[in-house]
Amino acid sequence: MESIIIRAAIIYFFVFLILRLSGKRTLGEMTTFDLVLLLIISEATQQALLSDDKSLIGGMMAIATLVFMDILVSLVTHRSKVADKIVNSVPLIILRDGKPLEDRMAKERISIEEVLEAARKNQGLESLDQVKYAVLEVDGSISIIPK
Amino acid sequence: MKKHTDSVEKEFRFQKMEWLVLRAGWCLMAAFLIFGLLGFFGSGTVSRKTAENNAAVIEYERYLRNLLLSEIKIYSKKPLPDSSVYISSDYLNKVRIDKVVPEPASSELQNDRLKLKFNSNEGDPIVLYVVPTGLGSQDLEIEIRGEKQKLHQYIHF
Repeated sequence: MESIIIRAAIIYFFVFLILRLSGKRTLGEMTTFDLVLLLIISEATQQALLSDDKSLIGGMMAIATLVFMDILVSLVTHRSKVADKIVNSVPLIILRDGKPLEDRMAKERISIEEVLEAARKNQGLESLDQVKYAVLEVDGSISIIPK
Repeated sequence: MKKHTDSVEKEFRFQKMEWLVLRAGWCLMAAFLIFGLLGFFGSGTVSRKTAENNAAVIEYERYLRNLLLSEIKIYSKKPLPDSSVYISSDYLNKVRIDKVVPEPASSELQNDRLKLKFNSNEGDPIVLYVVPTGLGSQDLEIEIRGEKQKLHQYIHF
């Protein structure tokens, strides 16, 4: 039974690390590829998590461990700003006064089209000139502040 | 609103540091995959080993994975006079022998060793199908016709 708890904790940490390394945009918009990726990850994780244990209590222990780890992380990030930045990252301005900050966008793998899409969807804007700030939020979404 | 965006801009130093860490992480991830392809975590060029002495040639995996089936092939150089293979029993604390092909006529524990006795050996390899149940490094000692061969293996979690 203890091996399930240890496995679940290791997998939680590993999946967190991999998703954190993939950057904000992986989490932000769920494309078809991201959906496929998520499904495959969950299938691979399921095997490693429970191995041959098909018992009800085994599954319950794995779920409880994952949720408990999540509570622990949220407690730590709530109390410490540094931990919050490490776990969740920080927002990033990617466009100022209608001018895209290209080096930042390149590093976050964001195109102008994605900013325009966010401007259209969220504010009904049709050009970058109408945007004062575009901010890449920690969840990978793009916030638009119009002029 | 200006205040909000000002505070966002203040975090830019952290963001620059994060980009560096993320890129280092990507390199580590690539290294992890390359190590995996080479066989450092089992089933690959680095993992496949052959040990040889006067009595037999033994093919085995240097790196194993917990609960993942692996093979140890023993090719006898000459027909065995007593048709017996001895395996150190402490090996069995970390590894379960799932199947032996050909099936041994008898198996018994003898002086801290597992003795597998075969009716005949006509040049076909003896294959031990093993399932690692423990973790970490371990030594396996196989004795054939008085020739001992020590193998080192490592079981990943």
